[in-house]
Amino acid sequence: MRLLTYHFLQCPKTKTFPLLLEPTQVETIETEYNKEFILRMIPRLDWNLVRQVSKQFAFGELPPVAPHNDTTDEETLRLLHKLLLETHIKEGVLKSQDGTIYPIKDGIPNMLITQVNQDE
Amino acid sequence: MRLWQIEELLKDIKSFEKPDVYLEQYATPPHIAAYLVHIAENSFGDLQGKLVADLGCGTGMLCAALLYLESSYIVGVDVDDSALAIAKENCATWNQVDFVHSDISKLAVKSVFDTVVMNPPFGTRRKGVDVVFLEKAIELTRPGGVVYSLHKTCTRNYLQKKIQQWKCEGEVLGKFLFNLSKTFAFHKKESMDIEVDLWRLKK
Repeated sequence: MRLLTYHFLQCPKTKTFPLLLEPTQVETIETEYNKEFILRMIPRLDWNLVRQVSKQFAFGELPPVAPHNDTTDEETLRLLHKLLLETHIKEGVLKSQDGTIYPIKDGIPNMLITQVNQDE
Repeated sequence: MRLWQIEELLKDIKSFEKPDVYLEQYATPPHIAAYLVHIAENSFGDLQGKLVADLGCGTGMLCAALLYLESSYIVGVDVDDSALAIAKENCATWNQVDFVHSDISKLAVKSVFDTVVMNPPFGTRRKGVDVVFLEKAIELTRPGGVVYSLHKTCTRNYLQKKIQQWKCEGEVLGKFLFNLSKTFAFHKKESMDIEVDLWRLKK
């Protein structure tokens, strides 16, 4: 699961957002930079969460306000590309505010609402 | 890419090992998957460069078709993790697909997708599940986004009403014969053809 997908997932039980991401294995896979796509994704993101995740994954501080369509801040866009499209969570967990845990195994988050998930 | 070229490429997609009848797991026939993505891109420009979801992706037939049409980012969702493992293999040469293990009716994702494509269960085993998928697809689509979905032709009038209730625009782009093998056919027939519509809905 790449970090862009993480930015869209809500808790299936409570519909709350965001889930808390606790990775145990992270992988970087390079992919072609697509500026237009990044620009189109920015308005769909919770910018405060992006900034927080950027720090969590040691990508550093992002500007307090999300870049606009006509931005010249290529550095931030490149960083967003690396953060959102090239950072893969291979193993870890997503935690909901109500304590429910959704495991990420082999890169696939398990969002099933099961007894096991509730009891952990 | 031409329609027949997409179809040829999709013939290599690995299908279900043990199809689950309850989940109505049949792979989308390559010619139908190819037609869906071909018309979506070439008539409407709904795929290339887009953020796309595939609900009930199974072993990833439509995900692979989307990759040939150069969608930028694809999220495939399915309730069956063994199908997802095969889907991952089928899409392994690309780096644009994420998979999520979830029940479609319980799926909680923001309304961010440009386009949702799917071949949902027809609702022959669980009545109404086709409409549950369609409603979820619309929920996940951003305003102005579109949904491509396959439904039994006999549900056309019913769906038309539902689509109006949801305040969407809908049109049927084509009709196919869908061959269901013995596993899914009723009355022990070897196989059975059913008529299926390809819908395009605009949110």
